[in-house]
Amino acid sequence: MSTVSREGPELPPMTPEERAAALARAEAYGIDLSLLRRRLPLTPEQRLGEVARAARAIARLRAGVVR
Amino acid sequence: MSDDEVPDLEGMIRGLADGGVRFVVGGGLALSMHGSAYVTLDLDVIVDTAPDNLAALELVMAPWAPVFRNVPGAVPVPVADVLRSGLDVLTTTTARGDLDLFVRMAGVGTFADAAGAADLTRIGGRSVAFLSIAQLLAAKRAAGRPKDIAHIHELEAIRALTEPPAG
Repeated sequence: MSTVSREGPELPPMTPEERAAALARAEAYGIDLSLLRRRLPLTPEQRLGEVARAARAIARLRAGVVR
Repeated sequence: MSDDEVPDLEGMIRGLADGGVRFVVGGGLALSMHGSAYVTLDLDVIVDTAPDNLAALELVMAPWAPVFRNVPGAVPVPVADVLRSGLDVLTTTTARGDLDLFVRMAGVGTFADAAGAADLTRIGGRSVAFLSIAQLLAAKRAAGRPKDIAHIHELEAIRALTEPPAG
C-alpha cells in the first residue's frame, strides 16, 4: 500500500513460516487469496470506488427483492 | 435512507474532513482501505469529543438529518449532547447513509488513543486517518463475533502478502 503512510507502531514482522501459516489459515477459512492479490495493488481511492460499486449492486438487489 | 438507496460513504468522509471534524475511520471501510474484499454499507468513525469538534460534527451532520437507528419513529439525534452523555457508540441513520460515531471502540480506545497510531491516506485531496492493521486486529479480537474471526484471518493474510520480509 504505497499510497498509505504508516504513522503508528508496526506489528512485529512476520517470519516466512508465519506468512505461510497465515495464508494457509485464511485459505482454510474460505478467504479468496486470488481476490485479495488482485485488490492489493489498488490505491485507497480505487478501493473506495470498489466499495461504492458493490454498495450500488447490493442496493439494486435489495430494491428488486422489495418490489 | 431506504433500503434501495445507496450509502455515500466517501461523501460522508469528505463532508467530515471538509468540515474540520477530527475523526479516525474504523470498521468495514478501514478493512477495505487495507485491501479487504469485505463490503460495508455503513461508516464507523471514532470522533474527538472535544467541544469544538462536537460542534463541527453537529454542523456537518445537520443537513444529513441524523436519526437514531434503532429507535422507531425517526427520532432526530442531538449528536453533540448524546456523545457527551457517556456512551461508547451512537448509531445513526442519515440521508447519506448509516453513520456510527464511536467515543470509544473496544480494543482501540478513544480518538486520542487511535489517532496517533492510525494510518493516513488522501481521499479527494484530503488527508484521512483510518485504523491501521494492528488497530483493526485489536478491535476485531476485542469484538470476537464470527465475522470478526474471518476479518482477522483476512487481515493476517494481507499482512503476509504485503509486509516486507523479516530481517
